[in-house]
Amino acid sequence: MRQIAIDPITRLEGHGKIDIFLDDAGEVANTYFQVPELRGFEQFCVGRLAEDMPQITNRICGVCPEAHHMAASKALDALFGVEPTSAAKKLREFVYMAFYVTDHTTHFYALGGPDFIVGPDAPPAERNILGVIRKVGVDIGKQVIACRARNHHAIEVMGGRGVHLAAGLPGGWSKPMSEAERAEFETIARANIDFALFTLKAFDDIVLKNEQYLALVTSDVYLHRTYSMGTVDEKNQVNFYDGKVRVVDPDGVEFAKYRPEEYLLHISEHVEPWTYLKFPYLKTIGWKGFVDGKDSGVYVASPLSRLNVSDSMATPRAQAEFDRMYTTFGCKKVGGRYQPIHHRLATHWARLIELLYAAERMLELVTDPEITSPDVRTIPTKVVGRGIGSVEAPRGTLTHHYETDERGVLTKVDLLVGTTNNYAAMSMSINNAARKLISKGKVVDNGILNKIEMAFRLYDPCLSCATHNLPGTMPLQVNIRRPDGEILEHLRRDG
Amino acid sequence: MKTIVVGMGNPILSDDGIGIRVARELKRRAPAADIVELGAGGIRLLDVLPGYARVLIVDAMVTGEIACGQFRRFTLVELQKKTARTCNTLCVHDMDLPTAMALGRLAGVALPEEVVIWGVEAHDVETFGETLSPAVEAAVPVVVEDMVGELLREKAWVTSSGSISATAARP
Repeated sequence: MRQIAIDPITRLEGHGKIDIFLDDAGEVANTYFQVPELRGFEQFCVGRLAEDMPQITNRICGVCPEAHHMAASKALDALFGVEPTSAAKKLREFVYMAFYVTDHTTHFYALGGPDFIVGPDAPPAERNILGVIRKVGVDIGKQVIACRARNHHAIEVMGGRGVHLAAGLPGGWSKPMSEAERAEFETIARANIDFALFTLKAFDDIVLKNEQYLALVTSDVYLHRTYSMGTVDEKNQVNFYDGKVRVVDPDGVEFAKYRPEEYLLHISEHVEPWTYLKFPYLKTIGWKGFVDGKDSGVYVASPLSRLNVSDSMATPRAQAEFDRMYTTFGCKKVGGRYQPIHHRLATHWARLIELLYAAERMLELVTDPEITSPDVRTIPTKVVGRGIGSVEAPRGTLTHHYETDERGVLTKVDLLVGTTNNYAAMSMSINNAARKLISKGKVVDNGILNKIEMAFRLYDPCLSCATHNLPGTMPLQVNIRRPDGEILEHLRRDG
Repeated sequence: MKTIVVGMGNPILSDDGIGIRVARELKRRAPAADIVELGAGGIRLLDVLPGYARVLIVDAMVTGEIACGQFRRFTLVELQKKTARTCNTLCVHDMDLPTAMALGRLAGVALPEEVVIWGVEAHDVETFGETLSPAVEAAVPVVVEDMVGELLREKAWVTSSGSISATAARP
């Protein structure tokens, strides 16, 4: 058997790599996207006070601490049996929308977008945000930095700290919003909407009006017909902060809709011997392997899946873009909802629609008269002993599950992070790309490194949440070896 | 010279927290200094660097080339040439430090002209925990002293006794 090894040279040498095994005919037999393990998180937490979890979990990941902070705060609401005040919920959601705007903006311009804006076949050294600037102009760089700066400022003011928030408490939020702050944040939210509209226009001009790119987006290299997951509000509209988890089947028929605390009734985890990370799947369907279709329990939780499970968007401009995306893909409405899109590269477009929604929702919240209410906390008076909280992290549904003794000392901690939901789907996308791009033992497309990278870049995997290590824009190596290990062909690219 | 110190890493991931430990120790030695902690690098560094003439970054690294607890000082050029790499200056979700600096400069952001990076060789960056490995723990005062030496280049920070003043006015 001939092996092609793609070794992303990560900070943890020897960990986190993709192996592609060929059969005797030189066709792809299997691919393995291995993920290492960070040890001892539950042991680290057990014995500590539950109310420390918003501060502990926002250290898991340097990229999405806000998502962990929110999920942890919500889990504490349940654990202490306390309902946050209406103003507190709005403050949390406001901060969360500012985070979403920065996160989705950064992903599009720095990671996902360069494939399209600079071009999927452009040299890797140019396929980054600097290449985007060369193509679109230096003003876009200024706008990205300004967007991050203004939202970072809002998060710092309302979160107590810029990077690792400190304001989330069981029952609410520790920092009310003053009128002066509200006025400033309204300006920020309006700027965010303009920026999101600009970004969607750029995507339209550069990607959708380019036949080659549109063909790539709609090609079957990145096509998977799986179940979709996302959180919806009472109108079955996308909501990042709160609601019920909805799952639709590959045809778009609602399969399940449940409260986050019921997740264990719906999700199980499959273990493979070759990786530490588990593969979540839909329990009632069962694990049938890395396969598509209605009979496979594999699901995806991503910007695209969130839109797939929703009847519509809760804000007007995002709704218009939502309609445009689904009609572009020729999706028909069935039972009041568009059929799902399964072309995974459309995730980039979905992410931009979410960016616009987050900006619009931020404006709604900051112009809500209640947002400046000083009533930001309900004081807990009891310990329930079990709390599950969930939000939509940018990279998928994020669930925190804590259990404590009667004093509120942690006895059990379990996290199902956004990216973990997508581990099976990501593995399948990498496998699919490899099968299309390798034939008879030869790499038929020298862009294989990028095409495979594109397969996991679209999910923007944050395996650091579970592992603190992943292949992203790291250097890649491909070795095509004879069965005896001799290298026939060596491809290398520095990230 | 207006200087910022950036301690990078995760304080609950064993040796990955060395940069944070050093930054906190430096803060005790020089309370008036501008010292920040960052869990991830890349474009996030542009959130903290504007307006400074010099940045001193301290981070864990896993090279296998030097013993745990030993450290290397290097410059942005070495990161650019990929002859040096630390655990957290690059963020796999967006970009590395040289790209972030280039982005900022292209966009007209006033960024430090001088970048000095301390990479401290780590033993374990995979286990949750608040303590450092013994060799890495022993490195804390050594790295702090070295960084203090760098900070001392700011004359405004030096008192007549030669120690770093806790109350010196910011340059």
